[in-house]
Amino acid sequence: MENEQGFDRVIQDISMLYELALTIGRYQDIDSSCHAFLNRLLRIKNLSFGAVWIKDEFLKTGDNQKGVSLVYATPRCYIDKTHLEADHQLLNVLTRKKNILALSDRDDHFSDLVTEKGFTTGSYAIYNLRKIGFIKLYSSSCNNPFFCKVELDKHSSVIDIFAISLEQSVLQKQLLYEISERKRAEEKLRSSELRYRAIVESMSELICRFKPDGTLTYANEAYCRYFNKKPEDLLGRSFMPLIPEDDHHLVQDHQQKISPANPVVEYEHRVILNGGEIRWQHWIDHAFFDEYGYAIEYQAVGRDISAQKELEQHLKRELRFKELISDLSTYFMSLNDDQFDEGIIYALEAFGRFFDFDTCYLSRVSDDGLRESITHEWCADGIEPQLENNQNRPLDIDPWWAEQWRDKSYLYIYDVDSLPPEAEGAKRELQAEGICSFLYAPVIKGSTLFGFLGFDAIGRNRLWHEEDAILLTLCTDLISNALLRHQKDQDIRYLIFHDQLTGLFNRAFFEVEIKRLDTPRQLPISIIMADLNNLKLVNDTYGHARGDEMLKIAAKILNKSCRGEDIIVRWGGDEFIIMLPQTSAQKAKAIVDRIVDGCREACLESLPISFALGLSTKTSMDKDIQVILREAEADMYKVKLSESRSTKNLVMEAMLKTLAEKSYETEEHTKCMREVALKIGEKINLTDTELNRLGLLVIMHDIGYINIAREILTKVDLLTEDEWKIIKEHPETGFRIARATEDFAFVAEEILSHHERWDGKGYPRGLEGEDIPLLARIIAIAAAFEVMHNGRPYKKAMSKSEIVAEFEKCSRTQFDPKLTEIFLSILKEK
Amino acid sequence: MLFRGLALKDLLSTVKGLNLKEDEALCLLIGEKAALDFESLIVGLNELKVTFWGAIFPGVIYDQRSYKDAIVLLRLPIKGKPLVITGLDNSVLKMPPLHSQVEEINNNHCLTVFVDGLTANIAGFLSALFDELGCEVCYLGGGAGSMTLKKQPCLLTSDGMFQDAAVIAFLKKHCIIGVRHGWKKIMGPVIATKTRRNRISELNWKSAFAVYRDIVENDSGHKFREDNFFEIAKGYPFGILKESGEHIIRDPFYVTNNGTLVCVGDVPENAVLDIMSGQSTDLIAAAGEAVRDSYPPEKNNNSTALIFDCISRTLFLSDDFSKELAVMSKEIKAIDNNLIPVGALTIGEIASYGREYLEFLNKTIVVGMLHGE
Repeated sequence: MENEQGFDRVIQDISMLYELALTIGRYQDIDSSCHAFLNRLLRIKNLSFGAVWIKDEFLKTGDNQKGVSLVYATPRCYIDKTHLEADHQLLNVLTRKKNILALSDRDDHFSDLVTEKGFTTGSYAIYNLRKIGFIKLYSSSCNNPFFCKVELDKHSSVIDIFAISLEQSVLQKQLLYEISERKRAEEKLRSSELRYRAIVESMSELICRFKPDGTLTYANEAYCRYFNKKPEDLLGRSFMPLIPEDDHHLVQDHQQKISPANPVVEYEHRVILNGGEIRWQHWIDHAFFDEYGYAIEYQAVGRDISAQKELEQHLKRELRFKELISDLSTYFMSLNDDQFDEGIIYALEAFGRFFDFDTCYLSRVSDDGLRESITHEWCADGIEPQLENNQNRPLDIDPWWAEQWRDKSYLYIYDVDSLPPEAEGAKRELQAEGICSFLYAPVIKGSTLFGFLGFDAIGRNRLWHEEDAILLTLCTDLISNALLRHQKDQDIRYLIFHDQLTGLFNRAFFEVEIKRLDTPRQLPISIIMADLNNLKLVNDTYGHARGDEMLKIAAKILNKSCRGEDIIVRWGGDEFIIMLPQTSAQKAKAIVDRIVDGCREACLESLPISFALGLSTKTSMDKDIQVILREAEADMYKVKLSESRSTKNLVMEAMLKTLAEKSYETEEHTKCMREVALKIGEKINLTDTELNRLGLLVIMHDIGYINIAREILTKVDLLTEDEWKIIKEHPETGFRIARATEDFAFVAEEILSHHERWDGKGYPRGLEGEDIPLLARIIAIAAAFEVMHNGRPYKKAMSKSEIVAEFEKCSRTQFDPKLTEIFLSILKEK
Repeated sequence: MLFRGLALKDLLSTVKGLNLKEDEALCLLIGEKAALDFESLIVGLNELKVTFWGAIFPGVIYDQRSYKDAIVLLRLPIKGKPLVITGLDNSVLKMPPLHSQVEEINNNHCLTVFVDGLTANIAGFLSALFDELGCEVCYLGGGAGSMTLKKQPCLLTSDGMFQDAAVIAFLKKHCIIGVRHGWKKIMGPVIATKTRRNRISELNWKSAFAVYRDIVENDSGHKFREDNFFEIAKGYPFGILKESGEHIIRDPFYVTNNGTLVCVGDVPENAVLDIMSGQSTDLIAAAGEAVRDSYPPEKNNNSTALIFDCISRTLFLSDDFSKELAVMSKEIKAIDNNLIPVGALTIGEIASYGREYLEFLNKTIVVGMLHGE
């Protein structure tokens, strides 16, 4: 019977172990595995509590890696009642012992190792679950047979199986965790993608994805809307056809720049819309790479920047234009004046190209404002120049044309063909030149109209935007400034190289030009040296104003006598040089003759004008030009020497004749005086030379009157103080005239002194007594006698006795007493 | 307190006269034949502001007798209010938070558990309940419902009548539980190699009915026919093997055409089963033992003896059932002569074996000796 019961017990034990074993491995997750096993164990073994701990290293959930974690407990209400620190301690014990630990409340370490709240009595069995953790089983009863060693050992095998199963579950959990993590990541990604897609679809930016060959794999709504295409028309096809061919390389270049190190690139390009409209887009491409670093796909965000681009291009254009103007201004500043024309054409070319016209030209309006002539012109390649055909073109082609300029800063015609009938004249002319569109703007120089800046489009219409009007103004201003500057340069140049008085070139210019022209090409070079005769005499006699007039007349004679290409230079005060490039001596002589002829016809208030002319010709470069100059000068002096006296006499004669005409100095008066004077001279035994001087002095003593107005000289009434003052200047004037003339210089002192008085009260120097030159003292007596004897309109002639009485009275005061006495003796004899 | 044949108003009047204390509630064990309008009863009790919970069982026990048409009223100190758990019909189990209530219950306090005995997922509910409360309380109760096996509301609280649900109430009483059934193994073990909840398809990898039939027919000398399965099977339940305790009895009450045995209560797959058989004397003796197991440590004048006796035992014991009740009464009165056993005839019993695992039992007597506080 006992054997039978024992056998039954064995069968029962085996069956229950079998039942337990069959709960193992039915579930893959830890929770279900533990639940199936532990609940069955608790039920079969009548236990109160069971729990499983697994080392964190096997869990790898990322939450806790500190030691051991409770993964399952039944009833679950005890989960919160486990004591982690105690379990760590338990784990250490188990790790060391590696076997089953059975505890009851009778054991000393019970409370140390088993600290679940409320489980203060009863029994514990703790199994090592291989190396992954441990299982804890509890019964509130101390008498539960499960906790005897035999029973515990009996179940160790099944718990070991459970451990193996659990290990697999743990591994599976790890795997699941990784999978679920991946799934979570995928889900997150998917969710993110959905959100992203929602955002992307609702964005106004154009968003697309494409393969390296440009095939679109995604395009958002904005992208489709922008190109007015359906997604099916875009996806799977390259976007390159949407881009103008000219920009293909730009897009490709940028995409080729992308690398894993630099996966983002920004660029701009144009696109063609459905209707053919060209727009600008800005794109940011982000590339995705495979493991080898090759781009596999691009994601791009773009937006339309046409407006911005237009503005940018407008600004760039303006900036470019301003730079152009700035460059041109600098260019003009750096130009030499002789490069002015070149500069203007350069500017015209720049303007023409900038505004995209075929010709650009500058015309000048005539002084009478009726005509214009093109002065400078630029033509694009293949365009016929029209400069020669547009000279002296009338401005009043038709009334319409004239009307157009009223209150307008420029005139633009897009289509010449559409000009109104009243513009028929202008239309005909423009069409004749093939002009389809034109732009015309006045150029104001200073405050007057200089001319026009014109632009023509030949054989095509050129659209012009009004916003460019300001740029056009800058163009005309630039031209105007250049013209003004050129004018100033010309003025300065004129001032530097011209004689202000005569308008001829000056010596400085000559110095430059002679070097410039002293070349073989200019041979033969003739030089005429001209010295204006008697300038000093005229200056001294009539003053410098008259001398200047003489110089101007002389310059005119030279200008008239020479050719346009001849260089006439005022060399010094009265000296001129004429340089005659490519002129033989013979031709030069002809010019000399023309000058001489010209002089014959010219005079300055009856004074003759003449040059002393010298000529030399350079026929070979072996001869220094300076030598030629010196030769011409020497030739001139030679002529001057031979002609000097005759010319001076001619002048003096002319002067005396003039004096006679405007004063009372008649020949009879002179004869009377001469007679008296010479008699006195003879009485006092003057030499023949002195007598000759005295005779000349009689003629010349009042030559100073030449500069005094006839009205004063012939005035009947008493002279005013000022008039007297003028009258009193004539001794000095006469002195200067005499000194200026070689033949009369030796009587100059006497001319100066002939109004001095014996008592020192005369003028101009107040000499007295014998300080007054003798001949002057004689002339004073002779002149006074002649006036007394012959009378004047303002004064009756005196009788002999009256004359004697007057001389006696004035002896020792006005006249030399000795000479008076001699004179009176002569008078008595007469 | 037994009520039988009383009008509702008399019942309510009696309840009113009880003058229940604030922490006292009324536990109603109602025989399925009790002629009462339960809706009106609930309204009436609510009007009296009485805390109550109860269930309709196939019968109630009072002293030495069972009644199908009577009501047993128990006045018990209660913690909080009775709680209803719904969703036991395989839908979502709605378990109210219990931890806070457990915290305030002393270690040996008792939880009464009345469950719709004809609902599908009693095992799942009990497992969830045990998960929540563990061994902190003594579980005591049984399955309500009608012997007609017709599903209908059979649980009641102040919130109304419930079906496919459970009603639990924490009592401010210590409890000692005695669980006995008296069935003896006649053959085993066999392995329930294929089960699904309360249906055993295979035993030892063979048709469950074939295995069962061979054993039972061999032992009983009766042959199973189409119409006599329960008549024979009621004397041969399965016993799920447990260490250090009684078998968990599973009562096969029906066999399907494909040989699947349908039991009252779940049979875990691969559970080790014995085929049990019973003698009236053994069963009646076991009833006495159950009472004796539940004896309180010391005499107590304030004890309540609660008995949940399986309705199938009445069927099996037939006329001898009164002997079982008499034995229990006698044993209970041995504690206190004035102590009257009260209880219900249940469709399955609920108890934690001693202080261990919570089980749903068949053909078993559960005695809960409530005492102290």
